[in-house]
Amino acid sequence: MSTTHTAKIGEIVMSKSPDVLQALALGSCVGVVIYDQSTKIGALAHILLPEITGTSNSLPGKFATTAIPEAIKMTVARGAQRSNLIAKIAGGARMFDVSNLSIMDVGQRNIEAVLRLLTENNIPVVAKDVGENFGRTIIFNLESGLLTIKQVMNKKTYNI
Amino acid sequence: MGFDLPDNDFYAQFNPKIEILQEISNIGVGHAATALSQLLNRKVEMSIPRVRFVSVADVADTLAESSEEIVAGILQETAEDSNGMLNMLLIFNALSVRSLLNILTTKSTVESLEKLDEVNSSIIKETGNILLLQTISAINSFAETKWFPSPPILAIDMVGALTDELITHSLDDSNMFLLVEVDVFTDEETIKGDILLLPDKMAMKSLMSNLFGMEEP
Repeated sequence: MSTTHTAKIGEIVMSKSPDVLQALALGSCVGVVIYDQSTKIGALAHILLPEITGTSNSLPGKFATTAIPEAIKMTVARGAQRSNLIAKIAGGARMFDVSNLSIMDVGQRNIEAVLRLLTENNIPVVAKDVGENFGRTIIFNLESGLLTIKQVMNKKTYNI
Repeated sequence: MGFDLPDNDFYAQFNPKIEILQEISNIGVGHAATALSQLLNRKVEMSIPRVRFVSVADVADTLAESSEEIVAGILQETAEDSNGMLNMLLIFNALSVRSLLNILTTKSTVESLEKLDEVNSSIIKETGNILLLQTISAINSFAETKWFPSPPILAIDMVGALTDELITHSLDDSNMFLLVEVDVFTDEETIKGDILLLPDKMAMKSLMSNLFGMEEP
């Protein structure tokens, strides 16, 4: 039996084949899949912001800087091979065409932070579908290793 | 006219006074209904606004059937001043958009939100603009703030995707924000509008201190 695990904003879900991981309606948020093809164990983080702001002690999954190390730790603890880990990322859109970009372009900052963190942790990004101005729902199949992207607004679905 | 308060230190301090926010919204939306009535050229009534705090994780599900529901969102930013920044997002669902266009255009050709043309988009944006301007002006006159709104921006997409970005910079380390829900009725149509008020921390503090003389803790 395959179970679907949904990562809400700021959450990390982790499981193993034949399960499915998903994150619904990503806007400026970025969904990061960390996956080991050999053991078919993987995690999905639904990241809201690049780094911790203020004195937050909330969910580690909220921020790129804490979510990625945590997702790695979780998959390895479950039995994934650290050296096999790869990443697929999606999201980071700019939904509103605003003038004041410094404040609003969280999507772009999220993408940059996620890519930096993955590089620092020696995890290759094998596929990405980021930026633009539409929302995405993403579904990761732990058996096939395929990340399905649904642009609900544009009625488009494809795998990366 | 209930409202829910989260179990959260930052908001707990505002607990006794939250009713005032409801009253402000009431007045703001009252003005908006009058303006809308003139625009639509028919009698417009409105429900009493419901004000409550919503957690970040639940916001999309609160606003729509699912976080993937396609809605129209009208964003109004305010310039950041000494009172902080107060952004607002108005959400119309597909049904409300259709009702509005039925009233405002002679031939409504809207099949779905995904296929809204430029004229219809513009109508929705301006209607949202009227509602939001009245709301901010009510807040300004009550709280003696001077928030100056920028032109509205319309986006149509999944409700969860639209709220993402606003959540990120509204409240740094609390996970709650303020939701004002209101229904607007005409004789034949119901138009439901949800207004998310998104004060940043500084704006929340100036609102509270201007309204109630509450000092920063």
